[in-house]
Amino acid sequence: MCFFAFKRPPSHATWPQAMGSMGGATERLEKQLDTVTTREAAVLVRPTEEQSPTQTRAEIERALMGMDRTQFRFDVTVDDTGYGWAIVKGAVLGDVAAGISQMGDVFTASGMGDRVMAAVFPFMWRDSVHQRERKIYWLYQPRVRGFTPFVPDGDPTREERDHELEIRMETAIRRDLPTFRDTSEWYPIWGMPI
Amino acid sequence: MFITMLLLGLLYGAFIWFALASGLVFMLAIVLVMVLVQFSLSDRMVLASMRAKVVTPAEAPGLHQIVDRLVLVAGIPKPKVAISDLLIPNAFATGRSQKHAAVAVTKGLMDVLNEEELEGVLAHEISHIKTKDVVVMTYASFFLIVAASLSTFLMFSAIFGGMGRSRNNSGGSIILVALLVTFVVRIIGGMLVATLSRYREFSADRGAATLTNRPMALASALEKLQGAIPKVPHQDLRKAESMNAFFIMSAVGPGLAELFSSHPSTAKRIARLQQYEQQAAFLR
Repeated sequence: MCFFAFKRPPSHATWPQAMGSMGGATERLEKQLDTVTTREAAVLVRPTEEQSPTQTRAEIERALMGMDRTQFRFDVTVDDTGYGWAIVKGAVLGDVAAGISQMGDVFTASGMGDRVMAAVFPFMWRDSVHQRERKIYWLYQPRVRGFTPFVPDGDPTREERDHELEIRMETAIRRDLPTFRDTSEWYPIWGMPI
Repeated sequence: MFITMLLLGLLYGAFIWFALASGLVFMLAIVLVMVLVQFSLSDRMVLASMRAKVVTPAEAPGLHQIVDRLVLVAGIPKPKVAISDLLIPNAFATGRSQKHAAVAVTKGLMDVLNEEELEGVLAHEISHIKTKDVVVMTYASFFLIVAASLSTFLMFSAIFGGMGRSRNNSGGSIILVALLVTFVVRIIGGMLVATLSRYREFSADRGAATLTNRPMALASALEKLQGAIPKVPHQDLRKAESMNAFFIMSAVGPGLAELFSSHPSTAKRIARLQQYEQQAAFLR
C-alpha cells in the first residue's frame, strides 16, 4: 500500500471528462501557474462542403437554442476560413468549462459531433521576464482526446509560436489536465476570434 | 556510476597486467607517451579539429555575456570562448583542467537557437567544465585509446613482422592473443566508457537546469537539435482536417546501439529535464 498516491489524470479523456478536468484545474492554472482565464472559451465547428458562412452560423445557433442561457452567455461567429465558433462566456473557468461540456452534448445530439474540431480555452499569462501579457491557449482535440498547448509568439501575421513555453506549460499541467504529449499533434489555430 | 568506474578499473588493471606479463612493455610505453602528449594538447587540438576560433568579448559580446553569467553562478574561472564556422549545430567543452578549458559553439547552433536555448546549451557545457568531466572522461578512455593504439601496432607487427612464416614462431601466437585481448578491452571498455559518458551527460543537463533555473530552455534546444521542432505542425488545425483518423505511436525501443552511445537519447534527456522543471517550478 502506498503512503502517498500521485494524482494521475487519464492520458486520454472523453469530451465531458476533459471539460471536467479543465474546470477542476482552475486553482493550478490560475493560482500556481499565473495563467488567468479570459472567462470565455469556444468550440470550433467545421462547415459542410456546401455550407455558406451564413448557413454555418444559423446551424450552430439552431443547435444551441436548447441550451440553458441563465448560467452562460453564448456568441456565434464564423471566421475568414468559413469555420464556425460557438463561444461561451462565464464568470469563472468552471462555468465556462461546464458550458463547453454541454455544447459537446448539444452538437452530438444535433448530428454535428463529427465536425467538432476543438474546444479552445484562452488564458492570459504574465511574462515577468519580458514584462508583458501573453495570450496562451489550451486546445482540446476530440480526435486525439487530449489537450495540446498553443502559444502564438510575436507578430501574429508571421504565424510564429513559442515552443519552449508550450513545453513548459504542458509539463507543468500534465498532472491536472489530460494532455496529449506527442508534439506532432500540437496544431496551431491562427487568427482565433477569442 | 561507481560500479561502472569500478568495472573500468578492473578491466584496465587486467589489461596492464597482461601487457606487462606478455612483454609488450616497450610498445605500451610508446603508446602511453603519445596519449599523454595528446592529452596535454587536447584543448588546442579539439578547437582546431572543429575549426573553432577563440573570440574576444568585442567580437562576440552576446556569447561572452551568457558565459560570464553562467561562470559567475557556477563559481569557476571563465573558459576561453570560441566559435566554430561549422554549420552543423553543436557545442562542446574541452580542456585538461578548469584553467585550460574552452567552450565553443558552432555558427549553425547560433543560427538555430534563441538566446535562452543557447544559454541552456552553454550551461550544459559549463557544467561539464565545473564537474571536470573532460578530465574524468579522458582518464576513463585513457586505456581504451592505449588498447586501440596497441592493437594498431600489433596489426602492423603481424603483417610486417613475419608472423606465421614459421610454425615454431611463438611470437606470432603472443601477438594473436594480444590482439584478442585488446579487442575485448575495446569492446567492454567502450561500453563502460559510453555508460559513464551517459551518466555525465545527464549530470550536465541537471547542472544546466540548476545554473539557469530554466530546464525547458535546454529541452527546447535539444528538440530543435534533434529536428523535433519541424515535428510540431505549423499547419493550421482547420487546414489539417483531412489528417488521418488514426495515429500510430512509435513503439521502437532503444537498440543495441544505445549501449555504445556516448549520449543518452534525446527523449530520455527531455523527460529528465521535465522532471527538473517540475521541481524548479516550485522554486520560482
